[in-house]
Amino acid sequence: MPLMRYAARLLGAPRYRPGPTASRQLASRLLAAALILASATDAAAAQTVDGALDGAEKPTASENAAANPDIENRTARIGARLRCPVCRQQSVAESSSRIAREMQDVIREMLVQGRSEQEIEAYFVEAYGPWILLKPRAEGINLVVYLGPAAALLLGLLFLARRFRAMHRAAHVATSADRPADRQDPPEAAEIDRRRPSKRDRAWIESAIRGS
Amino acid sequence: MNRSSWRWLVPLSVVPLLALLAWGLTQDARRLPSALEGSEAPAFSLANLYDPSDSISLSDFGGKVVVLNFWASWCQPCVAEHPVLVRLRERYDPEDVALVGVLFQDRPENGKLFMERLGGEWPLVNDPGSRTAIRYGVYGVPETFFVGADGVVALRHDLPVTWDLVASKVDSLLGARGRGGVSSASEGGC
Repeated sequence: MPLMRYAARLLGAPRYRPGPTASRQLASRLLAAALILASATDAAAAQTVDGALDGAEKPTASENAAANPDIENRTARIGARLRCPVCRQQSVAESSSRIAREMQDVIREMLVQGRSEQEIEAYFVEAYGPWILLKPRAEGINLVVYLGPAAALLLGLLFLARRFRAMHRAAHVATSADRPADRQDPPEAAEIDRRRPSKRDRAWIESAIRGS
Repeated sequence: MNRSSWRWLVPLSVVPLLALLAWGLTQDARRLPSALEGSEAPAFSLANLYDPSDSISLSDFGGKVVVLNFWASWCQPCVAEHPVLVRLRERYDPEDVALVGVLFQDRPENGKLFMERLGGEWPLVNDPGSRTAIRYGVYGVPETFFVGADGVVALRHDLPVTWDLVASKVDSLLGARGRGGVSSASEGGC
């Protein structure tokens, strides 16, 4: 399969949205490449898919914007927050796909027009839905993502605290049971402890006895 | 919290999580809902593929059901769905239903060659820089948007269209418009 994929890449098969299965997608790419090559023969012109894309109208990013480091930094920052529609796991800023580059051009143009970062994000969310944001907004069902781990941690700590307390109590009961003098019920043993004279009281009693 | 409460806590927290994971496994992660469905279709004005000096706008088709198809000559699924679009154009009156093809990330010459080879006649526009495609939230081709006569996107279909889908959707949009579907639309199968 990697060999076929390599062959497809050599043929210049484009990357479009994944099909129902990987093999069907690969077959589609090979067929697409074959169709274009056949077209090239008919048209007596060298037209591969890559060639077709090279010749297509390119995104026209403003040269002024490209020369402006602030615009470029902000473009990269916004692009890093948007998901590439083709690569899915990469941001628009990271992806080298054509649609990602075009989206960056749109961001750049909107920044030059004076649109805020929030407005630009909202533009893409309106077109693609919240899915386009790599970091989901903390609202609605998304709150589960943000609050879930904290809630799970809290529950885990409560659970552990309860377990430790139970273990401690069990150890205390076992220690008390080993002492013959304390074989009464725990409340009674506590009462005896309470009534036992303190060290200071004992010293006073002993001195009083010696004095008498 | 007493002992019986804790006994219930574990299943109460784990079972919903497992149910969520099980539901996730039944979903196709590649299919994405369109944010535009139910919203007004974004306006566009793009150069005619055959005559760049002429522009075609969405507003040119006001009051009609519009089937907006994003396609490319390098896209094999677009080849597969092409006969359905040809049939759509043949079966429905252009006065009722407009079919518009938007060339996506492709060279106009290749788009024209594609149409020459596969046939069909409907308005075709070029979308330089994919500005319109991005505005429509397109992430691959083919993608087809069904826009009602009221200008609202009724459906985005992100796979090759089938005749059953096209006929049912267009008929329902025509019905909503109040003129009724074209009778020939539901004749026979593909």
